[in-house]
Amino acid sequence: MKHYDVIVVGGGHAGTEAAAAAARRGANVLLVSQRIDQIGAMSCNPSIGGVGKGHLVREVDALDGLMGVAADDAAIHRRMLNRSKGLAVQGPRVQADRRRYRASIHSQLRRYETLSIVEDEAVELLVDSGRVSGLATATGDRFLAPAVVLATGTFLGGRLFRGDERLDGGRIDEAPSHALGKQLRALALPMSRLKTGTPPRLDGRTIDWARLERQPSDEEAWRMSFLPSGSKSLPSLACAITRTNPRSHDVVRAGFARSPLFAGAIEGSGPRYCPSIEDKVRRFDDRDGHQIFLEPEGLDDSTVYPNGISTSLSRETQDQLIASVAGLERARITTYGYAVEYDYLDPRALDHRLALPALPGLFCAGQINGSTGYEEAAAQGLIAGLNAAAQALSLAPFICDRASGYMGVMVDDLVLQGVSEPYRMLTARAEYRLALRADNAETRLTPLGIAAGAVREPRRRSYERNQAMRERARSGDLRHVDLAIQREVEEDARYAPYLQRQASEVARMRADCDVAVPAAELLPQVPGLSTEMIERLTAARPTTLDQASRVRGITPAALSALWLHARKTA
Amino acid sequence: MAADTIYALSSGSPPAAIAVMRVSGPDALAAAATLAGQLPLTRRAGLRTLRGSDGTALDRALVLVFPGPDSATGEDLVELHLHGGRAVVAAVDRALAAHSGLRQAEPGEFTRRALTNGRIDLTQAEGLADLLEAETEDQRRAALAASEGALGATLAGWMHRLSEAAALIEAMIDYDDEAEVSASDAGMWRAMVDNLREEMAAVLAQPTVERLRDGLLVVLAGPANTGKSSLFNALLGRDAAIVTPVAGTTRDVIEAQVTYMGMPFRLCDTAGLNERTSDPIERIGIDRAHAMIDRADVLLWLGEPALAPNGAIVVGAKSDLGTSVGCDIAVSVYHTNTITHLWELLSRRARSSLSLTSKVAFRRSQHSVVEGVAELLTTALVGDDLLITAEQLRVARHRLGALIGQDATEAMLDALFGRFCLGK
Repeated sequence: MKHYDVIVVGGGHAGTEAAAAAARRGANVLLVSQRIDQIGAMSCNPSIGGVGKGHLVREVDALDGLMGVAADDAAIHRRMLNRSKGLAVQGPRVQADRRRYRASIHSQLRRYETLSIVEDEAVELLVDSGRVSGLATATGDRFLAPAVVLATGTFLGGRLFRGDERLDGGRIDEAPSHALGKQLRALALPMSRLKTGTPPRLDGRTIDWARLERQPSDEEAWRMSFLPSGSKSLPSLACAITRTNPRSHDVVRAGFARSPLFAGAIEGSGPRYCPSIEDKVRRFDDRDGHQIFLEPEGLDDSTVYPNGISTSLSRETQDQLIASVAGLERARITTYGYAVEYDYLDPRALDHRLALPALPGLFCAGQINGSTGYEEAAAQGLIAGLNAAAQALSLAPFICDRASGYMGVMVDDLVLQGVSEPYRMLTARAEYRLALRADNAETRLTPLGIAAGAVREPRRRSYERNQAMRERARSGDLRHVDLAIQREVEEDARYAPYLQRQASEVARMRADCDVAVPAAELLPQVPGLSTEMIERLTAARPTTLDQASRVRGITPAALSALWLHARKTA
Repeated sequence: MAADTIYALSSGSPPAAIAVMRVSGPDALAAAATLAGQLPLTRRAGLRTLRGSDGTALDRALVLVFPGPDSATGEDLVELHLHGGRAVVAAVDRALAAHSGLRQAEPGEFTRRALTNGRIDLTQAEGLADLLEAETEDQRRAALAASEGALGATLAGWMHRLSEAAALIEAMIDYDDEAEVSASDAGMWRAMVDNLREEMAAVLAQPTVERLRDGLLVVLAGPANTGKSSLFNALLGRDAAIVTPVAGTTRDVIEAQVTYMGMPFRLCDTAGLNERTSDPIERIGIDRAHAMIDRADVLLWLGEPALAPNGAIVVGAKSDLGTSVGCDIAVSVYHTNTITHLWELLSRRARSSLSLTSKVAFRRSQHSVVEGVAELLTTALVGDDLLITAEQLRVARHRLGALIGQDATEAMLDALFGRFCLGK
C-alpha cells in the first residue's frame, strides 16, 4: 500500500493541472489514468483559448500551470479575437497540433519530481470514518492519501449516441468508469446527467481547399504564456470557412427521426452555446446556412476538425450532410461525430475550494462539476489541486474571488448557482470585466500564486522582471519595456475612471464577505425568510452575505433579513 | 410556521357601507362557525346571522370561506362582510377576541403570511401595503396595479428589452469570430435603449405612490392675524371634506389630512411670520413655517401681495372687510361659496399634478432606482467604446433585476441564445 498526499483521478485538462498544481505546492502526487498515452488529449476541437476562455488560459499560466505553455508549444495558427475592441475582451486563441500538445503536457509533467503516474482504472474511493482515505483500482492496488481530486470528465457513466447506435464510453474507443459513478451515486450525492457532442472528423486531403475562404494565422506570433519563449514557433497553417446550405438542412431534418437527441434517448441537457447542427437547424429554422470552420489538427496529421457541426445523427446522415457542403463534396469522414451523455455532480454541493464538504478530502474539477471546455476544466483543476495540497499539507486554502479572476467568477457561479446546462466561460458573466483582462492576468494572479507557494522559481523571476518593467512604464520610462507590458500599462490608464467606480463595488462585496450566513438547518430561525428563500439558500449553501446576494432568486428583502439576523447575533 | 390564528378589519376604518373582517390561520374555520353556525360552501358567499356567545344577533353578514393553501394568505381564511357601522364592527371584533387561540393581527401580518407562504412576491407585497393604506380612488388604482402585477409586468418588460439590447452587444463581444451579429443589427441597440429610456422618463414623471397617498401639500402662510387659522378651519369645515386629524401635530404647525371630492390633501396651518420676535419658542415656529413654505406644493399666502413668495396663491381672506386688492382669490369664512371656490382651485391643482396617465405608479424607493437606470441608459448612449456601453448596461440591468428579483446575467444570456445561433 503506497502513501501519497494527493491522488488525482483523470489525466485530462483538469486532472493534469490538478496534479501539477498540487505538486507545485509541495505535495507528493499520484495521477491515475486509464491510458497514459491519452494524458493531455484534446478530445474535442483542436483549439485552446478564445474570448473568456483565453482569459482562463492566461490565468492558469499566471499561476504557473501547464496549459498556456502547451498551447504555445503546439500552436499552428494564432488568432487574437476582438482585436478591434478594448484589451479587456481581447481573447487569444490558438489552433494546437494535437500530438504536440499532448507531448508538451507529458514533458511538462515529467519535470515534477514529486508527481508519479499510474495506468489503471479508479474503481472505488476509500472512505475511513467519513473521510476520504485513498483509492482502490481495477488491478487491485490500494493507494492512500488524505485528499483525492476527481477529474473524470465525461467518463462517469459515459454513454455515446450516434443515430441508433449506443456505446458505453467516455470518448470514442475508451471505456467509461462505471464503478466509480455507481459509488458516488450510492453516497447519495446530487448527481445528474449532461450531454455534449463532437463533429465528424474529415480527411483534409479530400477537401477542396481552393474553393474555400482562407483564414490565415495572425502575423504577430504572440504567445499564450507570460514566460519568455523557450522554443521556436512552429510553422503556421491556415484555417478555412465554409457554410451549410438549405440542402444540408434538408438532410439534417430527414435525420431527425433517428436522432437520439429528438427521439428522447438523451435525457441530459446540452449547452446552448455549443449547439449540435440538428439543434441549430431546428431552433433557427429561418437560417439558410451556418458557418463551418475547418481546423487542421496537426502539422503532420491530415485530419481536419469541422467546427460548427457537432452531431449525433446517424452515419449515413453525416455522410450526406458533409457531401452537401461546398468544398466538402468529396471529403471523407475518418471518425463519425457522436453525442456523449455523462454523470455530473451538482456543483452546489461543493465549496469555493471545489471540495465536497459532505465527504471531507474529496475535490472535484472539470466536466464532473457541470462545466464544458478545456480551459474551464484546466482552471478548476488548478484550483482543486492547490486546495487538495492545502488539505493534505495543512496549508492555507487558495480562493480566487470574482474580482481577482475569471476562475473566481467560474467557481463562484458553479458552487452558488449550479448549472442547468454545461457551464462555459463568457466575459458577460464577469461583473469586473474591465479589470479582468487576458493581458494583465500575471499582474492579478502571479503574486497570489507566489504567496501560496504555487509558483516555481523561473516563473517568479520572470514575474519580477516584468514587474520592474511595469513600474518603469508607469513612471513614463518606456526604454527596455516589452511591447505587451507597454500596452498593459496604457490600458490600465484608459479605463482607470471605470475601475475606480468598480473598486467601490469590490469593496462592498469584500465587506459582505465578513457577514456570516447561518447554516441551512438554522435558516428557519431567521425572522422574515420565506420558505422559498430558505429552499434556495439551502440548495446553494452560501456562507457569507456576499455569496447569498448572488444566489439566484434571492430577494433584497431576504438579504436584509439575513443581514439583520447577523447583526443581532453578532 | 405561523401557528396562531389572526383576525383584523381589512377594509378601511368604520363608518363605511361594508366592513370586511378577515380571519386567517388553523382555527379560522372553527372560529367563524362559532359566530355564523354552518359555514357556506368553499368560495361561495352565504348570508348568515352572526351571534355572540350569549346568542344575541350581532349582524346579518356575508360569509366567505377560502381553505388554505389556495387563499390570499396561503392559510385557511374566512371573510366576514359586515354592515360597516362602528358598533357592529366593534361587537364582531369582541366576539372573535373571545374565541381562544385567536388574536388581533399586527399591522401587515396578513401580507407577511402571504409572502411567507409564497402567495405573493415582494413587489406585490409592497403594493398591498399601500392598498391597505389607500384612501382615495387614484391611490387604489395605483396600489391595485402593483399588486396585480401591472408594476411588476412593466418592470419585467423593461428588463426583457434591456436584456435584448445588452445581448446584442454581448454577442458582438463574446462571439466576435462568428459574425453572427449582422452590421444592420449592430446599431440596433441604440434605438432600443433610447426607446426604453423615453418610456421610463414618462413613467418617472408620474407622481409616486407616496405622493398619491399623502396628497397635495397645501400650506397656509403669512403674517400673524391675517386669518390663516380661520381659513384653515373653514376649509376643513366644508361638508365635502373628510378630515382625519394627524397625530403628533406640533403646536406651531397644524396639519390635517383631508379628502376633498376623492382627492387627497395635506393642509398645514403655520405660525404667523413675525420676523422681529425675540421669543425663542415663537422663533422655532417661524423657522418651521419657512420650512413648510419651501416644501409646499401649493402655498396659500395670506398677507401683503407684494411680499408673497414666488408661485404662491395670494388669498384675500377677510374679503368681507374689503382687503382683497391684488389678490388671486378672495375668500370669506362667512361666505361658504368663496371657500368652495378655493377648494375647486385646489382640486384643479391636485388633479393636474396627481393624476395618473398610466396605470403604473412607483413607490419612492422604486422611483429612485428607475431614475438611476434611466441615467445609466443616457450615458450608455454617448461614447463609442462598446465595452463602456456594455458596462453601463450591465449596472442598469443589475439594478432593474434587483428590483424585480431577476438574475440579470441569466436574463441577458436567455436573450442572447434565444436570438442568436451562437457557438460552434
